[in-house]
Amino acid sequence: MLYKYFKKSIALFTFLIIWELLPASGIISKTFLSPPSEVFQALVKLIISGELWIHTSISLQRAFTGFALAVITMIPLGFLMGWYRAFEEISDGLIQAMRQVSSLSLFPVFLLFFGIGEISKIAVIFWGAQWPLLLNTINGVKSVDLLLIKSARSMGSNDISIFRKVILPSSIPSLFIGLRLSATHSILVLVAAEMIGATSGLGYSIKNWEFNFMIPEMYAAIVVLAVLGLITNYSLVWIEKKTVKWKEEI
Amino acid sequence: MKNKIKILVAVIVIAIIAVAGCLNDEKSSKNDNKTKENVVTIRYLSSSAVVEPYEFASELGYLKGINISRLGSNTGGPEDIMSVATGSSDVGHSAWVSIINAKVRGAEIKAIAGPMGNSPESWYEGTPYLSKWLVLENSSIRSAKDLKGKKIAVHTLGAHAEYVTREYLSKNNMSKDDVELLVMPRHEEILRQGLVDVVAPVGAQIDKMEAGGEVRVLFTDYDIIGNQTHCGMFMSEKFIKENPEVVRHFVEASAKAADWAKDHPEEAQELAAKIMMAKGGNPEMAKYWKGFGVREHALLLDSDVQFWIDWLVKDGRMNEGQYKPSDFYTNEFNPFFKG
Repeated sequence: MLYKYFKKSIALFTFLIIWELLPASGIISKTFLSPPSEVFQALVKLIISGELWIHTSISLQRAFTGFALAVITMIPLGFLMGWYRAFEEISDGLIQAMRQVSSLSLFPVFLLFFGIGEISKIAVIFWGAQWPLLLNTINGVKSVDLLLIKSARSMGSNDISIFRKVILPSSIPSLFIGLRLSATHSILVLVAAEMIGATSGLGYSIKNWEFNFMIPEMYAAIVVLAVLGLITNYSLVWIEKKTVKWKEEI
Repeated sequence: MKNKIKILVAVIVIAIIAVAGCLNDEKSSKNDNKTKENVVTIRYLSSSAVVEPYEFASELGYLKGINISRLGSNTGGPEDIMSVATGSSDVGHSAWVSIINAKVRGAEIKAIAGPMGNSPESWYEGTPYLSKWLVLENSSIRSAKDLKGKKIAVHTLGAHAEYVTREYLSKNNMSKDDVELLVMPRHEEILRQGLVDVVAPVGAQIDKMEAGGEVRVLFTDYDIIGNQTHCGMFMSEKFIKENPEVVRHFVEASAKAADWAKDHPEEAQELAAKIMMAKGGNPEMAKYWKGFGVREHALLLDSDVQFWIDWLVKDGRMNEGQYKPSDFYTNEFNPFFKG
């Protein structure tokens, strides 16, 4: 067990050591690449002053709202599209074209529709977060073993119980891939969305601290973002494990 | 397993050595270039919307033994500072507040001349400005007190536009908490669409917006800070220390070029347009150039810098008396300077 953790952390520690040594040795200017020790100090200072929490909480709110909207709309849509062939055939062209459009390049359009404020930022996050969810849900439904559906039907099950007992459980693994991609994506898009027209948030702070040459603080915010992404990913992995276990028990 | 770890460690060590080696190679070969044939190359970043005094100097043949080489565009002062301080380029220009912030945080740079400013004496028409704060013609905003709760767009925070806005507010007994300062690109679009209430565009963007009509000037930076050289042309302290004679000649040529531009407005405007076009600039924008706006001989004054130090002290970014203007600039390489 211990050895496993040791193995997992080798790369991380090597990375931290190189990061610490590069500015210390003078190969890269310390003014612009703060070593992790200084970043850690800045992080502690930002936590104590409460400033970090202000920015993190507003960022989390935005990311979560965008992600939640994507979950509420795209999972049902995904099931519909996966199940009703005609529905997919009609909408597929539009969706394939839309999903090629980067959410950031649409930012000016969202600004035009929603103005500067929370809604346009959430819209950008929603736009980025919806595709992995939609596509993976469709995939999940389509990958259901046809034999299972046929046998359920031959045993007299109606559509609703087929959906509940067959389609839903077997599409869960793919659904969770979608959830994980979408959740981490909403954090990635968030940062960029906050760099324009914002007055708070982690993305705003990164830009603001960069312009003010508060480089350790800037890296501290970047580290916080990475940690948020990690936590999101691993919590979903954990939930998935619980869910799949429950599924196996029936 | 253990062998694998050993191999991994070995690979990483080799990688570090290789990278360090490459970096060193690059540095030494660069120095070789400098000594060869006694021609020094000074590298810089510059956007196609501005002209630098040394670009004039080069065109006018004032630079002897110095070859200037433009590496590309930059997004603004902070990027220019990072590039010069890390040795990626040799000369840059930026608003004072960024130069001060960077130096306080350890970037070893120093300003040696004025690249652009608000001096009426070298400005061709009307009062000089870098930025104008514009509202729509029919806007209800007529004075500072109308700005309460309004959205003001600037290109960067922590620089010229932010502090001039705050100076304007504080002169009217308001603070930045009374307004919403936002970082936004494309000022013309967002103002005309009504996304923000005030924009603070720079340079030729202003002429373009005013030519488009239906906008009104709320105030200009000249109204607020007066005759200031609001930017510094800087080099890294290392470069200055290693090449004092090169720097002296470079500053002298830049100063002479700025003086020439002041005395020959029409030819200077043509030359500026030519330089901007060569950098891939917009021909519409190039014709709006109105002069460097620097003082005679591109000299700098303590008051140019002190204004920004005062603001940073007010903001708690440094202590009163901790820094003086001469920590950030020097006129000693300017042969016209009579200290």
